[in-house]
Amino acid sequence: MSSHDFAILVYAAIGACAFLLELLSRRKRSRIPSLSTLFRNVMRTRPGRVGLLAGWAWLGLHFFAR
Amino acid sequence: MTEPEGDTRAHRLPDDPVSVGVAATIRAGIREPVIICLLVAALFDELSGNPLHFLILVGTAVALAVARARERVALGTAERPVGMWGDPPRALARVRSALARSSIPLLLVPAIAFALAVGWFQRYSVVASLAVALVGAVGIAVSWHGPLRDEPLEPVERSGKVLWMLVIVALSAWEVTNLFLQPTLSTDSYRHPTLSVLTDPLLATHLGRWLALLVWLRIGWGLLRR
Repeated sequence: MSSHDFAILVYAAIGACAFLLELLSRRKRSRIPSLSTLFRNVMRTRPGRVGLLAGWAWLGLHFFAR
Repeated sequence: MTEPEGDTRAHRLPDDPVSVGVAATIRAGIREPVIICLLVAALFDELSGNPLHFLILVGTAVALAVARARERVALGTAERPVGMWGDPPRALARVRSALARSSIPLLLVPAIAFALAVGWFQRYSVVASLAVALVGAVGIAVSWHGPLRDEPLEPVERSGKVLWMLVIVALSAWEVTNLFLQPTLSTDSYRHPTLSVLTDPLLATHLGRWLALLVWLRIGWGLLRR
């Protein structure tokens, strides 16, 4: 396996973990929050809310702006 | 175990902003993990030759540090106040009001038009850069004054939060590892690809840029509605 393939495999594994957590959060009485619920909790304070929106803005800047 | 509710006590901020010095701002800033994250990201962006990113991230971090310093002085506590966002300026209030009354079907046409127009330009072009920076800055400004509508908050168990944090930390660590394994911070590597290197082929086409911009706008809208 090349370094390139290994790098992609790790990204895919992390993505699969996130997908699994989201799936588990949909069960009744799950102790795992959905990503949406987690974000809502983080965003109840200004640093959390503005920080997440800044992260989103940075994502757009990273891929499209320089 | 649910999140402690200690920081949800009703505090009141004075109507006039409290004046704070540079030292108080720095003290408040270095205690806020979000501000540290923004400054670290800004540092990496500056090292990678992205001054526009640097300006927006540092600007947001400084504004947050000043706001936190004012809150600490006004409330006499280091707790982060919940549910106190202050009144937005009139122009921003109009934007927030319009967004609060909007819905995905209503925003679909302008979002598609934006994605088509900006996606038609090359990545990193002046037009694409300014358009994305403008939308990002508006999103940050709108978020400054709280959610667009009040919704009940579900408690989050710490164990569940930790699991998500592990995933986010793993992704960030792997991205940074690949970034440092590149020949230089600004030279892409096929052997150690970052996420942006992996998405380059997609974003090289008009269709790919259009789709990516639509997804980006959708994520932003989702965050603003939280």
